[in-house]
Amino acid sequence: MKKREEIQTLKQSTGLEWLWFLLPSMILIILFFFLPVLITLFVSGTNMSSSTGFHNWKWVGFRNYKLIAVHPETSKHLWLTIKYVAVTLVFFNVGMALVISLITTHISRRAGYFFRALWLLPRITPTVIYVMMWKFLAANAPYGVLNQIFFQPLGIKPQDWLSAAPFLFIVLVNGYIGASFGMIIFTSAIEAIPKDITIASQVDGANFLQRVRYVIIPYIKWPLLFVTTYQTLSLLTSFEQILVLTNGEFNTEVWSLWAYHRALDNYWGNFQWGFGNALAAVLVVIGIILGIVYMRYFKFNELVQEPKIENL
Amino acid sequence: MESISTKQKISKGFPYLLLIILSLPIILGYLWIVISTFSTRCYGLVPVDQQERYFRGLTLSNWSFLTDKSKTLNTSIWLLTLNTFIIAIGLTVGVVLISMMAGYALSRIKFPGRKPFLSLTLILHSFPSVTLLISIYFVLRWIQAIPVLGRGLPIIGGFGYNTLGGVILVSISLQLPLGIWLMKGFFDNVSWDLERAALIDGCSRWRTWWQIMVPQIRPGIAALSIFSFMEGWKSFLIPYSFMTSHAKATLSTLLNEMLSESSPVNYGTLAAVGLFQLLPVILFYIFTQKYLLNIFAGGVKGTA
Amino acid sequence: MRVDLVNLTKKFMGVTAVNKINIDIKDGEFVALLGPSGCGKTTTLLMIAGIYKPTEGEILFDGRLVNHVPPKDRDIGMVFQSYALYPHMTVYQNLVFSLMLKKRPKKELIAEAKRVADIMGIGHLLNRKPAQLSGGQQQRVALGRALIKKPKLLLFDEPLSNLDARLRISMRSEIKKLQNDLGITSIYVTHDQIEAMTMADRIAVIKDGILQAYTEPEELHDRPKTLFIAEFIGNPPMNLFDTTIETSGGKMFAHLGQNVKIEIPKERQPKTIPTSLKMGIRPQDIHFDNSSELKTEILLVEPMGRDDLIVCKLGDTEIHFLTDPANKLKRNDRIGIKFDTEKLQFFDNETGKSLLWD
Repeated sequence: MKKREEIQTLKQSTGLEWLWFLLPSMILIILFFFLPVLITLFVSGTNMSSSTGFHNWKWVGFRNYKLIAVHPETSKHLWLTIKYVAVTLVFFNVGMALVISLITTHISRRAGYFFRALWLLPRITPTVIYVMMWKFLAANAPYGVLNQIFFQPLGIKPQDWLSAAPFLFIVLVNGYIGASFGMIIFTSAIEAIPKDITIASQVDGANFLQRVRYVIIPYIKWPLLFVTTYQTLSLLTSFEQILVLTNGEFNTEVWSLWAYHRALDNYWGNFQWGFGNALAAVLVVIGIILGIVYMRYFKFNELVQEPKIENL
Repeated sequence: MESISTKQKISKGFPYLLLIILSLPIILGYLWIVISTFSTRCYGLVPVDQQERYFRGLTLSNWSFLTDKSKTLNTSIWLLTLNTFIIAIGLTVGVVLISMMAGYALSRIKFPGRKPFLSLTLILHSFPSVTLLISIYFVLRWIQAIPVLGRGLPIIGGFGYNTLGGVILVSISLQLPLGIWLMKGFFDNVSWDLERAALIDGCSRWRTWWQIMVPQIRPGIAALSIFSFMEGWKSFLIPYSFMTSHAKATLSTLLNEMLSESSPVNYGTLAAVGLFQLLPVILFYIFTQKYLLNIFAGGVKGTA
Repeated sequence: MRVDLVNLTKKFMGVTAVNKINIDIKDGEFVALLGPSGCGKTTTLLMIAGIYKPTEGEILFDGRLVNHVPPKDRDIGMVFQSYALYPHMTVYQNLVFSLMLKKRPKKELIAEAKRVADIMGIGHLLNRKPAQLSGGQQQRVALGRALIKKPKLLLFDEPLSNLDARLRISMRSEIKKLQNDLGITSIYVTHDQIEAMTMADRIAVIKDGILQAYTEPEELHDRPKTLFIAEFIGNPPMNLFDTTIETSGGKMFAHLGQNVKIEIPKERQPKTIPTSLKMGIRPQDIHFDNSSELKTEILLVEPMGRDDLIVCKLGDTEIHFLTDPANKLKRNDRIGIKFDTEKLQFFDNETGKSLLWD
């Protein structure tokens, strides 16, 4: 038996460096994700509001949820939200994104860059300006642009189109922003299709629409699915533009905005934290479920490789 | 040489026509913004003066807020620009730094709970964080009560409610899932031999990260920085919800305030302020376009 | 520095990549770990380097256990297949990096860099970045980086695989000469048996994580202990064919198809005769000899420069042998060949073990 001594190392590595790398993000995630989720769920079971303050609230269990179930406004908000998400998703976030990416990848390169940059403008513009721009597109004469350029020349009586068709406009306003996300992803996916396949299909005699149907769409199946799921979640939960555009009036108060209003932005100053959080909790649960589905669907395990350096 | 037949001319031009029609709201809208900043009033796309005479309303008066020392706006535009800039920079530096640390550990170090943490970031990536705003309000109020860190820091005021620091912290947190996932993706592509060589040469894990690995993902850092800065610059909901003092407003919240004032709104000035905020971003975007595209292309790797 | 691997084992999620390997390496020795891709040789090397943690077993440097010692404290230098030079640093910075980490004074850094650059012939490249160098130059820098620390152990992970054939041959002898001059214990991983045979003092042949043999190149070549070693070592590869043994009149014969019988000399007779066995003979041990009774027809002639490789058939068996191009043998020629029976090998088909050496 050989006598063996461990070689003394100058500084024993503790093997815990990973903890320090992760600490800042863990703190932030706990503070601003976990804690809020817990608070949301907790407060949703109370009657906390600005009238009870932080000290006089009572535990009410599921009463807020029952209230949601029987509230006269619930179905209005629910159906509006579903309609809004479905329409915007199909026509803009996926539909328009696909159309724009298909067209811009088949015209001159520079024109393609130009138009895609144009479509990215809504996404990088500060919300208030972007929304104001739409308000003035839709405004009544003599200020409204659309009235001046289209409707009056065509003999149609000018009016404030925003109040005439509020639903249309929340779709348009959000759609033009949403489309750019899918547009970028579809564009890079389409450009990644091997040139040989495109040439082969043209040699086979396919025209543009046939190529779209038989070559392009099958190739971008996964990005299509990805954009659809991601944008569904995004539409369900974002309300910033609607807040500024109509503040929820004219039946445009989607679920997430309803929650926000009830809890933080009530006109009469009556902040109903309990009820508002219950409304938000519903979205949180849906969000978690969809998030897990989305993760399973997109082959999570393939994206995770094992590290090739080990701790001794 | 025969000329191209009319039919071919039409089919060549058709995609452009279609594109222009679909992009019309954008084209008209931004045109309107620019024109109205230089008009006393704007009827549609036409600048108009006080007597409602067409094409006579061109003026620079809307831009007076740049130099008139708070007269028009009741506040200094430059102070607000500073606030907006602090938020954008704070967000960018914070997101990039923290994501680089977490992304490295998740990509390259074996530790217990690695896979669950990864799934967590992916779920949070698609999480409706905006629904948590209500509860984040509670968390910020609680932080506000902490001495020094809560409200007593210079420049950013602290990390609690109604401070620039608080807004920065929340903004960073909401961007983290995307940032971490992105950085992890970039680290995944660095060769293992490089890191092994560094460890054999004598680097600790920290040194390896900072001196060897981080320089290899410069494109990723560029993409994330650009994206975060632009998001921070235009951010509205978070500053709006969590900062109430007048002196702490940002350009976005100022615009919102101007829009919802009860007294008649001077749309010309409003548009000018808006363009003032928008212009830097557009310039920034034009120069950094190709770096930005890395983000989205990298994010869907493995799904094509 | 002596290195000992005792029952070294590595398992990855249920799969055993390295299975109880025992190797002793003497101070200053050049040892090759040889085997096909995926056999566990690189994994073994990475355990010696401290990158991977052994599942079982021990690694000893000069008799002391180093299993838990991090790579930077093991006093080793390593050269990677991909060179692994830091792309954002100059050649000079790459070379002195390890010394800089030890906080050596700048004067020393410059002196050491010069010393190593002179040895490797890269003095004129010090200010370039790796991307501006050719493959061969990068490999020299990588080697320089490993040597500058004056390590007690040098590890090589297939360092020449990315170089073109010509460069590979010249680098091979350079590395061997360098190692000889410096006398540093070296462990060299490769899948190329020619590399191993020309460079190593001893070769460890590994297959599926298990050590097949650990001995001098000559021994592996002339007295292979398993079928695998016989097939793997030697260029061109050994001829191997199924055969049956006949003993008559005090002599032993091996059958090759119909009508062909070869007498086996006493020293080469298999110790036992299993039901199914293979006979082996290297192409250089079969000769063109028209006076021989053994006749065959040439199927193919492959000129290899110094020799011609002839493919022909004996019975149903295809045979390769080497001959002088001056013989001007052509396809379809009928010729005679002679086996150098002193070089015959025999293997048990089922166990793969040699029937001559154990």
